[in-house]
Amino acid sequence: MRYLIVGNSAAGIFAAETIRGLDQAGQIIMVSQEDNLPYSRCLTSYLLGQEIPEQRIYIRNDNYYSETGIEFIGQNVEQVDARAKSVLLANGEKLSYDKLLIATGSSPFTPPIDGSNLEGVFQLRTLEDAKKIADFVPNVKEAVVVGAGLVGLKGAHGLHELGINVNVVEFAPQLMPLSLDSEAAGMVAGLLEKDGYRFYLNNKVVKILGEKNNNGGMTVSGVVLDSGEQIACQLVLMAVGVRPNTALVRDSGVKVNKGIIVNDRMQTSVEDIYSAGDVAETYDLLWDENRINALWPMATAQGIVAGCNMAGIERRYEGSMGLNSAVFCGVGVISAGILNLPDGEGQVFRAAEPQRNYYRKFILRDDRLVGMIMVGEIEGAGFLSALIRKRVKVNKTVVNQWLTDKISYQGYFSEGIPMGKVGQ
Amino acid sequence: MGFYIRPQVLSHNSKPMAHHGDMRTSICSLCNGGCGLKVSVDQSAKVQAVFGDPDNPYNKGKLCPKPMEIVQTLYGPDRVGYPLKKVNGQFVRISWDEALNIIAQKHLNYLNNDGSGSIVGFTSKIGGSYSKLALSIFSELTGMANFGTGPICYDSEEKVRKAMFGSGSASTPLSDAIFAKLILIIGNNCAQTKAGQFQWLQEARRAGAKVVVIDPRYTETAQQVDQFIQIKPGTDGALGMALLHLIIKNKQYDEEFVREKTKDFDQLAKAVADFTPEKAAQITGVPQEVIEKLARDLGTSRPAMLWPGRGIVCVNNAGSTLLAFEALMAILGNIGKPGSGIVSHINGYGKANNLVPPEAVVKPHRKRNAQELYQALEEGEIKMLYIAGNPCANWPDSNRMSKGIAGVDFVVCHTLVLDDSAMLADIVLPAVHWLEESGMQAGINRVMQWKEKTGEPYAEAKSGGDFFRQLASKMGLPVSCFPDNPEEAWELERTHNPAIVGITVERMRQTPGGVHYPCPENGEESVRLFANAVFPTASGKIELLGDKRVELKYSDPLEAPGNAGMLQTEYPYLFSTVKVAAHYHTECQYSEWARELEKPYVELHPLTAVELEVTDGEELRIETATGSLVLPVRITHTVPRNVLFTQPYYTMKSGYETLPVNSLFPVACDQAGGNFVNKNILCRAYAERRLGR
Amino acid sequence: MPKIYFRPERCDGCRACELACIEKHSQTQSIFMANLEKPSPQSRIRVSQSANQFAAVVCQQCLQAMCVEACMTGAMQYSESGAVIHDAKQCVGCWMCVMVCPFGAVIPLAEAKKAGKCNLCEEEKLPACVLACTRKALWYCTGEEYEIKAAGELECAT
Ligand SMILES: Cc1cc2nc3c(=O)[nH]c(=O)nc-3n(C[C@H](O)[C@H](O)[C@H](O)COP(=O)(O)OP(=O)(O)OC[C@H]3O[C@@H](n4cnc5c(N)ncnc54)[C@H](O)[C@@H]3O)c2cc1C
Ligand code: SF4
Repeated sequence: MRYLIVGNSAAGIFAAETIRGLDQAGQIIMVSQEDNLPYSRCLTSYLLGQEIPEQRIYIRNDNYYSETGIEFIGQNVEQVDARAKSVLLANGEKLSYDKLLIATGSSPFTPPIDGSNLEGVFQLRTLEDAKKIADFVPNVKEAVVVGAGLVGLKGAHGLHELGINVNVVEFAPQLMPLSLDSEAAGMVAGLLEKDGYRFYLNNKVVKILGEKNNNGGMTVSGVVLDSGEQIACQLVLMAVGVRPNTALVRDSGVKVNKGIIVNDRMQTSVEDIYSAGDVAETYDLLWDENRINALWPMATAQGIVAGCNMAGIERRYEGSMGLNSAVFCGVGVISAGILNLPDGEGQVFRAAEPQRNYYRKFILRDDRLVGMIMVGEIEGAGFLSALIRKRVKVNKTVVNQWLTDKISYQGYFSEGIPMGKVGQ
Repeated sequence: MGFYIRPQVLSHNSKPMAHHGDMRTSICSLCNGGCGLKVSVDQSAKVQAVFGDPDNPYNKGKLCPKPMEIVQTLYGPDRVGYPLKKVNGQFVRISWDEALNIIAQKHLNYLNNDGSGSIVGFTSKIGGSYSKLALSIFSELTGMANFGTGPICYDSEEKVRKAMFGSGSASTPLSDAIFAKLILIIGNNCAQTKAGQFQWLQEARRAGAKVVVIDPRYTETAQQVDQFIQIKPGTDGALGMALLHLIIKNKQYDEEFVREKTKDFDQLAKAVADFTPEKAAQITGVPQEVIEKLARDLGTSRPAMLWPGRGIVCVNNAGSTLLAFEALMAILGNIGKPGSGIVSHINGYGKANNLVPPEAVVKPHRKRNAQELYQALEEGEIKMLYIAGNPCANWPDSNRMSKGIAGVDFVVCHTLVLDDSAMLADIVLPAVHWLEESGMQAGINRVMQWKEKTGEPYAEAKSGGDFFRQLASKMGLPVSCFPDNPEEAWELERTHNPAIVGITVERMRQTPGGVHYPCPENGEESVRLFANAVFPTASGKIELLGDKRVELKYSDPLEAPGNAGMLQTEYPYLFSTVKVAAHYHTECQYSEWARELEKPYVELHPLTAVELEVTDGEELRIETATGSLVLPVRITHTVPRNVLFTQPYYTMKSGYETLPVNSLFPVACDQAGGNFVNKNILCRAYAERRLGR
Repeated sequence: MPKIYFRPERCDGCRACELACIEKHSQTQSIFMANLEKPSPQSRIRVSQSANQFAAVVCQQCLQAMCVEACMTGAMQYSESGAVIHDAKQCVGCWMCVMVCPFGAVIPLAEAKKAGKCNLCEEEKLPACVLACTRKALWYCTGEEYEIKAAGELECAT
């Protein structure tokens, strides 16, 4: 059996390891545009902020490919040819496969803003991006981050760690509009503002200003906001969202909506072609529809399911859900599931103590927990995310206790629901 | 059908308690604590029970079990009542006269043929002030060298303190504790060992002192204080040096006091210059923040007291450790002022001089230190021994000691019971119990109290005072040098020692709690030593680095004497003995109560127990380079990992029938060349699974 | 592979397991110093109470562990013997694992800025908590051994 995996990040690696575990003899070929050892994209901002040394960004050891018997090719895949069961590499080479996994992830979306081609405008996705920024920052005092999602804030944190003044511009009226409600976002904003960040909410960058530099090129000198306000800066980090890397499957018959559509075995519409990770549109168990949840844990879990099915072991994906964990100024913030239900639907339990950065919000629908936000004291959050995932009925008195008490198994166990139902 | 009567109960006839009139007052003479006692005595002057004396201002009625247990040993089956002589390996009763004749003849014989150095005394339990004085007169007349409690208890401490301050005694009475802001207790579990001292700890806390205990074990004392700092065994010196480092670095020492009253400060500062709290944290296992906080507390809380205990004295790096902590007290200016100073049970009040006319003095022709004694015994240099104590159990490498003693030509043992050492004697003499002998008893409060005898001597028991005088007379020595009774003895001692000349028997009798010494001719007692900031050293100041025989340099307990050269791979654990409330020396073993309270055990941390595959109650064999011993396991979280603890008081010739624990300790002393080590010795251990169990 | 099992009917909530775990994870290896350490060591086993029921929660060494899947640094991983282990050096403290562990058995170590979980006291013969549990509510054994022991208990009880 000849397995071909495109992409050597979360989904690709976990899939390859799963296949290797199930099929020792099979040939595994991994192709990736990024010619390096597997690393964690999520750590790029830590590298940028010099919180970790470069060697720690790699998530597998130096001899990874040889030890696992993976043939690695550092090339871009231009096109998938489903009929010939082969792919075309950028160097013109063709590789055939028996089973193909497309785990190409996503790429940052660059909005059409005037000046976004200037020197000093960056995005943060790859190790190379992080290194490029790192090379550039010695001349930077003031930076503008466009987009206050998770990637934007992580990038902002990296820059802030380097002593740069950071201004974050966000179109929405709050930070992390996709993963927090306004109250929690306000709390996070408060924390970060105290630390020196400046936020421009309800705002967008309409133009990036430039000036001539010594090399004859144009470098960033500031941005103009929707409001007309100008912010002088030497660096702009664009983090307004990502788009799945689906270009390689055009004309191949693989069905694509926003991302590559897969079933619960990670199979695409074309036989022997699988997809997983940020590029795949998978079943979202809370919204009960296919969605992209571009998150590391989803990518790995999907990679494992894809790997199993490719190696001939049937395994079904239980579905994704939104799930975020981040730490701001030492305060843990975790959110899961649906955070804002349409008005009149469901029931919300909340407790807030802003002075000690404590916030909890639980969203119930049909007596089931469908979403939660926890700020500060996040211990036991996993228990709640498991309840959400398993769609277990919960008792409202217990939910009320969770607003203030430690989240524990016990509070739930005593309500007569057997432990076995939760978790694995 | 059940029973309605318990026949066992009927066989006991409980004696009615004597009425108050027969309550006599006494002073406990066990641990030099000096606790006041009430002793109830029956019509025939027999001691019935012992209680704490609520009127004694030192212990205020508090008491540990030791003196209470003693009652069981006074008239018990183990007590020796008559002189005995060994004939064909059996002891037969003889008269005092015969015994004295034999001893006198033997002594003179060896003196003439082998010299005074061939006769040695083990005299740790010789008796009260009367007997001590008689022994010292006898020794001066015969050139006999004696080994008392020093080598097994406090020599290191005394040497270091004497070198620094000019006196080994406690500088402060315990009652000063109520003026202290901070009390630093190191390696001292007074809640178990010294009831009176612990009483003052509690009083000090009520008065607002912060009490900090530093110990590897979560001791009973540690359980009742403000802060407990658990430290890796034997690493206290590193902590002391880091505290010095911080106090000096942060300029928190008493500059004026250091300038005016101490010597060698610059050298001291140099010696600790690189002893950072980081380094000490590494060595001691005490978090750096805790060390820094303690230094801050010491720097800002004055006056403060230091209560060191055996935990930093009977260890192989005692010298530098003591030096560090006592220097710490000195540079903080915590000396000589109310609520400051160092508390210790060492009672150095000097010796009485010129008791013997100069022409009659005989000098020992050989001088040996305690370590050299072993070889001297083995090589037959020593022909005759006087034993008043139990060196076969109390001295290290006890098996070697026992063999050595067994090999000596002629051994006299003056003893209460037929203990391990007495069994090796040729002549056994019945000694009076301390309750049966009057005398001056010094205490940890640095006082002298007069102890009235409360009971008549048992059977034919004689005090050391009487024995040595009568022996001297048989030997033709000048008997006139000897006192006839305890009062006379004290009169003699006091008038020949200018430091205590002001302390008469009458004065002691009239002063509840005793008279603080020194007390010269003018009769003024010294409640605090060095209150005038004059130190009896060569420079008249505190010599911060002592006499430089001990270097202020941290020494790793694993590399220090007794452990140096041992492979940790072979001996992965440490073994220590720690004192307990129910025992003192080996004499309390003869009380059933004591044996009930302290059944043999070795304490282990649960994880150590798992490693050794033993559980509670199972037997563990502990082996060191010098010996091995089997003890039942007791698992407790109060002891640190990888260290095995037991109490030092088991012997073969007692109800315990257990090998003396000291047989596991090597003949080793710290750099100060002081007392023997009975803690932190490398050992190995394994489960002893005996057949049929 | 042996792991830690909990028998709720035996637990009386004394929390000796928590203390033993704190001691084990302290730098000083001392329960008495632990609260003075910085960062202060945290127990990896947590006992919670509801009414008069107690439950001890500790890592279950899941065969397919969600924390391993969620960990974005590779710090969470399986050991050769099959245990779920955590490499604190690699951990950046993002607490994704805390977010997903269905047992709540991964502890956010706020001061250390890391995650913490039970490592079965790998260098010991028995985990400290199991040893500390005087009621024998914690068992350290393999699944098969557990079944046999538990069946035996049931027999004794009936
Ligand atoms: C700065 C940053 C912070 C993040 N923080 C978090 C976080 O805290 N929590 C979280 O859950 N998620 C986070 N994410 C998201 C997370 O990194 C992704 O969800 C995850 O990396 C998805 O993995 P993947 O394997 O699906 O795709 P990717 O990681 O995007 O990997 C795709 C791989 O495919 C290769 N590739 C793409 N196209 C081709 C082609 N045509 N030919 C060959 N190779 C190709 C790429 O080189 C890459 O190696 C973060 C992302 C970023 C950028
Ligand atoms: S907190 Fe540490 S172990 Fe947990 S997911 Fe993050 S990096 Fe991994």
